[in-house]
Amino acid sequence: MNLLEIKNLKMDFGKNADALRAVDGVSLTIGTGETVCLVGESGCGKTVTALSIARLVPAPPANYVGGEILLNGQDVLKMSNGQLREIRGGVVSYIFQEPGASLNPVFRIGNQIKESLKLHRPEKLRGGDAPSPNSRGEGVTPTPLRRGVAATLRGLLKKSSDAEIIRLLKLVGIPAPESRIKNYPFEMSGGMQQRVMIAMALASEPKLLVADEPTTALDVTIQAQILELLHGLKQRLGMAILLITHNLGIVGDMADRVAVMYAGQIVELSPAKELLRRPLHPYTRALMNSVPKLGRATRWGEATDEPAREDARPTRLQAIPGNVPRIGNFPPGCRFAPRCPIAKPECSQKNPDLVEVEPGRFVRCPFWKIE
Amino acid sequence: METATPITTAESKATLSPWRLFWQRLKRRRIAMFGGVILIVLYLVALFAGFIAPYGYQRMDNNGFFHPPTWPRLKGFHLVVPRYEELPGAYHYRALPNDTKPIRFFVHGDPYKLFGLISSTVHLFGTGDPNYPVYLLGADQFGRDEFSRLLYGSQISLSIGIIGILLSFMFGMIIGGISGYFSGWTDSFIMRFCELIMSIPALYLIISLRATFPPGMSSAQVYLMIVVILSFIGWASMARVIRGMALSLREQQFVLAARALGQKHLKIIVRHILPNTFSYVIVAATLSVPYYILGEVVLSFLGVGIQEPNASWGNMLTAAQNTEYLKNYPWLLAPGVAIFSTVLAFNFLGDGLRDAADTKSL
Repeated sequence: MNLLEIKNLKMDFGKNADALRAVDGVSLTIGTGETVCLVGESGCGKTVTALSIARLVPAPPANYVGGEILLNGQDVLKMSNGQLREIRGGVVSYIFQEPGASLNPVFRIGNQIKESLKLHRPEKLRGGDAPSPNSRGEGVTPTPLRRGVAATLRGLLKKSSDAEIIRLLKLVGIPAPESRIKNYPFEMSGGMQQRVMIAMALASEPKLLVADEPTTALDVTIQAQILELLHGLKQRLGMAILLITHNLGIVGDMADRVAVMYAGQIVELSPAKELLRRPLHPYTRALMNSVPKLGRATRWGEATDEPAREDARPTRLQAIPGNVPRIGNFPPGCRFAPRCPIAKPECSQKNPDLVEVEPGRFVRCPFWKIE
Repeated sequence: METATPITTAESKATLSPWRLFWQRLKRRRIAMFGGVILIVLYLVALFAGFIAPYGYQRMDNNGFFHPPTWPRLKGFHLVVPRYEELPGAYHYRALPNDTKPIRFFVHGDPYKLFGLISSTVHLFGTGDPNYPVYLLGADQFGRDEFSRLLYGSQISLSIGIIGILLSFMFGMIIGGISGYFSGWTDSFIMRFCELIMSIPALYLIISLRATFPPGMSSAQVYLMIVVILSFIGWASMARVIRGMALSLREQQFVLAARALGQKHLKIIVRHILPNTFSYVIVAATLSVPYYILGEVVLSFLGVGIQEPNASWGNMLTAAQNTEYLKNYPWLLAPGVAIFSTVLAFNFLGDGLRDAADTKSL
């Protein structure tokens, strides 16, 4: 059984006549310990899909019209509020794009991590002497009252609860965690803030970590550190990661599989290495062509004295013509057709299905073989 | 040429909490600190009113109706007060400068209860002789010491503001927080209800609410009732502002992050939304205390508030309604001066707090 199984998810914003289809038939699975990247332009439905896993999109306006999201085999869309609170943090944790905005500015970071622990692993806050389940029943069973008094006393002494917070901060590579615990978010750099966010997310020991563009707001060196951290943590803790990004450079380093989204649909789903080596969908190809590459001379590289060789002739960076279609105003047929370099007349007749063209590779384009 | 001043390493701000920064900015505002000090003195005096006041608030001097203020003079090594002789006619008095009695400290006098608990008869100062009264601010139409009554009255007038603020802000914050956080129809419903309350002219609401309570209630009951009435009116405006702030705060990512952790709605409001409004709330609270003090004054002035013989600044001022009294016995205006200074001090402090809370003014 896969950890997460999204089946044909359809979600509207608004109802009836005003409904705008933000997610249209997305199917995605994530196995235990797997890293899946969700790639696409802004507004293509990546974030909404990811937030749907814990049903975090406020409803209304969100309106789930079809499909299911099976988390550990249970349908998230059918869960009660109480069950949702269990899985939020408990099974799925989130980290977001702006670490500074994700931390409450008026609380010390130690307290914010403590909140996460309190919700999902309260036993960790009671210090090391909390009775383990199997030691119960032997000796004197403490009465609830006596346990309450003991807990209060320990609460007054307080120290014990910090141990787990310090361990978490160490885990995410924050130097001198003992003193950092007392810091306010504004006293930390963006990279440190993101580490704190990761520590908060890890505090509840989730099975799946959803990272929604975790490095977009950070500069490049910090990006690399954070990604490295996530990668290392994933291997140590064996959790799955759903990484949302529009940076294809990240994909190669991190992902096992990649799903490319366009206008609310997955257009290509493939193992990461194969996708990067040989993208099949015209949109994926266009996306990869629009990434500037070192070594391929561009107009800005003309300053050299050497005569340019034939294959290194300055080429213009290829942008995808046109704009992303507005939600609710998708073109008929294939949604990428108006911008597609290989579009045929029939492309605007019928939206193609996502078809497995090679083992493990799914493409929503019947003409994927055409270069 | 002078040697350059040694470069002092800048004081590390790394460990300063937002509250410490707030305090540092506040300390730089002299007027605010001045207002704060005055308020601290006023509240301390109110706390120890029974001890500082030379007389009980009920004690009437049958020979001292409209007694003028008696100010101690220095005679030898003693502060002395003269005896006053009543002249024929409408309450005229004349000091007898040679017939004096020294002021003593820690004298026994009228019984009182400190903090409502500790019974005592020791007063800070007095003559211990009813024939030589110390009326620092004169006496009222029943021969009661204006100064003592002012102190006892401050207990009511000053505490009513604080308790009223606590009540109304607590309701205002929780209701406003709920309204803004949930938005939608909950918000519309709560806000329309707030507007309903705010649309009623406050004074009429106060008086009509007062009318629903039976007459002849004890002072404690009246006091409680005034607080409740004032808070009942006051929470709505607070709720509206908090609701507006909650509406913007709920879109913040840390609220989404808290939801993603599986936090409950109510806890998100209390732990994440409301603390972010504190810098506003503290300022607003300080600036609204005067309205509660004035509210009590108005009620008591109109005779529906604290009842005689209990003292409050409002019902003491009732005596000053009479222009004849005012012309002849201007010391009856003392509670007005007290109200004025308190309100001013609160405004000074509130303005300073507002500037200090505004980080842009660094």
